[in-house]
Amino acid sequence: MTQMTRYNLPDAFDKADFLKQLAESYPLQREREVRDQAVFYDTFDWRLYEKGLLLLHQDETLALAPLKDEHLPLCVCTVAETPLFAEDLPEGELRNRLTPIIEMRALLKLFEKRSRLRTLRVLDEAQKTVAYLALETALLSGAGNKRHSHTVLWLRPLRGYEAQAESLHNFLSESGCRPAGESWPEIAAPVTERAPGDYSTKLRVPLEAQQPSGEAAKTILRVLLSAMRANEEGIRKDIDTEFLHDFRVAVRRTRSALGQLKGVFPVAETQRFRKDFSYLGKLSNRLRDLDVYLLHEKEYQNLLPEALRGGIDPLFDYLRVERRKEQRKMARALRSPRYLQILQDWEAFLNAPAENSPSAPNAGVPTGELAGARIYKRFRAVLKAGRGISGASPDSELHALRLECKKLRYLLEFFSSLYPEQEIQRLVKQLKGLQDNLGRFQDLFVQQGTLLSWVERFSAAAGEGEKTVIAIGSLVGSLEAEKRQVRSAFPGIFAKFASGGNKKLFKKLFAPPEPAVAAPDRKGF
Amino acid sequence: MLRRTAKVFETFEVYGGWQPSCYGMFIEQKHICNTTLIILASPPRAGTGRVDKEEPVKIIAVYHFKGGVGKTATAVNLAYLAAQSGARTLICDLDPQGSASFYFRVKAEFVAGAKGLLKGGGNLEKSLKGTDYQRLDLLPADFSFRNLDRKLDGLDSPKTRLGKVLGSLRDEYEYIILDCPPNITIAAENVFHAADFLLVPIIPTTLAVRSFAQLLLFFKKKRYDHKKIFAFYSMVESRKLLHRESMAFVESRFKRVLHTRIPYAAEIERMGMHRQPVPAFSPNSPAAAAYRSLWEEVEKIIKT
Repeated sequence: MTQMTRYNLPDAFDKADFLKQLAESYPLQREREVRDQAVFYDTFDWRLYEKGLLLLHQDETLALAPLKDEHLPLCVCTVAETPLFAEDLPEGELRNRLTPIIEMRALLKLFEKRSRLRTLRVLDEAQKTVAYLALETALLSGAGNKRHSHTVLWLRPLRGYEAQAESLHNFLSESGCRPAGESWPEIAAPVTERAPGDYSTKLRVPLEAQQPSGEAAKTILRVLLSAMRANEEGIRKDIDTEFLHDFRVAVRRTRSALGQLKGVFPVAETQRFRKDFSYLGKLSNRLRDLDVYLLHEKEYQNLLPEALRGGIDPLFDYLRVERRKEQRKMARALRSPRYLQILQDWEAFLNAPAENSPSAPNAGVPTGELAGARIYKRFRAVLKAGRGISGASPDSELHALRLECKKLRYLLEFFSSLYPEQEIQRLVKQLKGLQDNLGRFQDLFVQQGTLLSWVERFSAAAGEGEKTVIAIGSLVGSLEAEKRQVRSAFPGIFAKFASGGNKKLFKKLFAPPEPAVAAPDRKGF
Repeated sequence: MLRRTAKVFETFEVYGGWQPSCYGMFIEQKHICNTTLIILASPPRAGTGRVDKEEPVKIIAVYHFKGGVGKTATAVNLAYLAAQSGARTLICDLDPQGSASFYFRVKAEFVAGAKGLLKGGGNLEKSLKGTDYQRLDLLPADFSFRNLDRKLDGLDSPKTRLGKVLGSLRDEYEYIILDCPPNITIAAENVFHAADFLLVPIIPTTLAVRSFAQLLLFFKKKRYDHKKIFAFYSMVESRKLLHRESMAFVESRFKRVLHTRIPYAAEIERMGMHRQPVPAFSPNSPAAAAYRSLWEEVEKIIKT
């Protein structure tokens, strides 16, 4: 009701003339000009923007507001400076609302807005204000020296004076002013050099079913390469843990694509780059492991009985030191000649036109055909691996199934644009349920092993070390209990994934047409 | 019995007989022409008083059944200061004369009338008006509010109706300030139920002090929570010996008297000319300072 509307001015806006006409139609009172300054924040992957939110810091107040109107904050808190992470905010509503959205991601400064506001009160016959009009001249500035000036007109209706606001709206429309659809992050794109929503962890690759597979594969891989590049800086500067995570996901997807899209690229190149990306993946294995432990520090603390809580601190202190070392190593690796060479060669390969190679027989196959066949084959492999698992199966079989699922998931994501969105989403959701179960099981398994491997380091030290060892023992025990629980949930979750409905849908979307099945297996995919 | 009493009250102007030793056993009622005496038979027990203690909204009624003690000026200035302090505030003009509405330059017109007010919901929300001041809205008065009692009489739970209706606004405002009409009718009892705090302005004169005692007596009789009542002195002329004596007298017998004294000031009278709260048009005047100090005291009480 009291929501403000922002209007864009017409191209040939004559302020003096506009004000003159306005004054002829409405009794007005001019307010003193006000200056205003605010800094806008979001995470690297636009989590707030995607949720239709703005986070801005103004006069020691941090406010969460709807994207369209920074004047109507949903909640605020007082902080001298915006902290990097939600957990560093003072306790309260703002922190509670922000935490589930941004999680462990850092809040990055997007741009600063300095404004001059000239406000006019629109009055009635009793000199009562019935609406406000404000001309805002904003100067936006980003991290560099880029500046961008933008002028808008605000109309703020007053509660109970809707008719007057309507009349003003009509006046503004007649003067050529249009309600603005874009938000400040969009307006500020020239200075932030980032279009809102330009980075997302979700893979979106627009493909055509008739496109040759070689071309489609390069398109997918180019998107993944740009994701790696986008995250390099964040890893080097150690802004938050998710830059590395996203980087690793892009590397893994690349490896998976190289391994699974057989016969699309020449063998020699495929092998070379598979080796290179395997190296890139391993580079950060330990850093990611340490990140995961440190991200879950609080949960570990909560798993321990109160008497042992302090006992685990030396372990985490040790992990923090280790992480710092690993982070520096990774930052160096990203500047190393080997890394730069790999990415340069990879980029050159992806940008080169497809060549006819006898070792790439599938390069010309229509993408739709290749995608369907690969996905369907992978789906059956998942079913086969899953059916073999009983209560007595060793843990390694679950691990193997997990890898199969991952491959299937990546394929679904690569080629999702070829299929009806809703159906793909349904399949991905089902698969994700299964993956979450298997992933949690694997996490717990690895964590137990890693925790036990650290025991040695502390058992040598007397006194405090003993307490740490006991705490680790207690943690391993708690993890075992959860592991069993996760494992016991597996059959139910798998049965859901392997259900008739799901199978039917997979078959409908991906199975090659019947005669094609009868034909000799085409070029080995 | 109770309803009948309420009806009687509606047509009488009330004065009280006051005995300092105890608040007296009866209320003397003076008809506009003839004097009659009514003794209140033990009334039914009053409700718990609050809409919902868990809710963050605080309802502050500026009330006295004596007219001309500075209720509206107080309500208007406090509402303005509450909003200035950053709290979303609503001032409800319950007085059919519509003085608070006048001060905010809003036409005293509540489209749905008294009946609509008591119905609440959409009727209420449609009638709210934004004032010229940030975070401050007004529920304008309507001449039909003079019939509030009659309308209440026909409803279920006639004494808690206002609290329920205002309760629907609890998420929207931090403070709701009620500017009440000078009477002690069933509508006033709605105020006693709905309000978390009752601010009672007392002019330090014999009659005003006497009527304050009557109010206390009424609360005692009807078993309302008298701890809601906070008195403060209004229209004080400290040169006058009578004023000084009266204040000392009240303070010796009633604990919850606020320290702030609102002076008898030309600035306050000029509110009608400016049609603005005193701190808005004359922020540096002693009257503005007095209201600020009063609001600080009230805020402190609310927050503890």
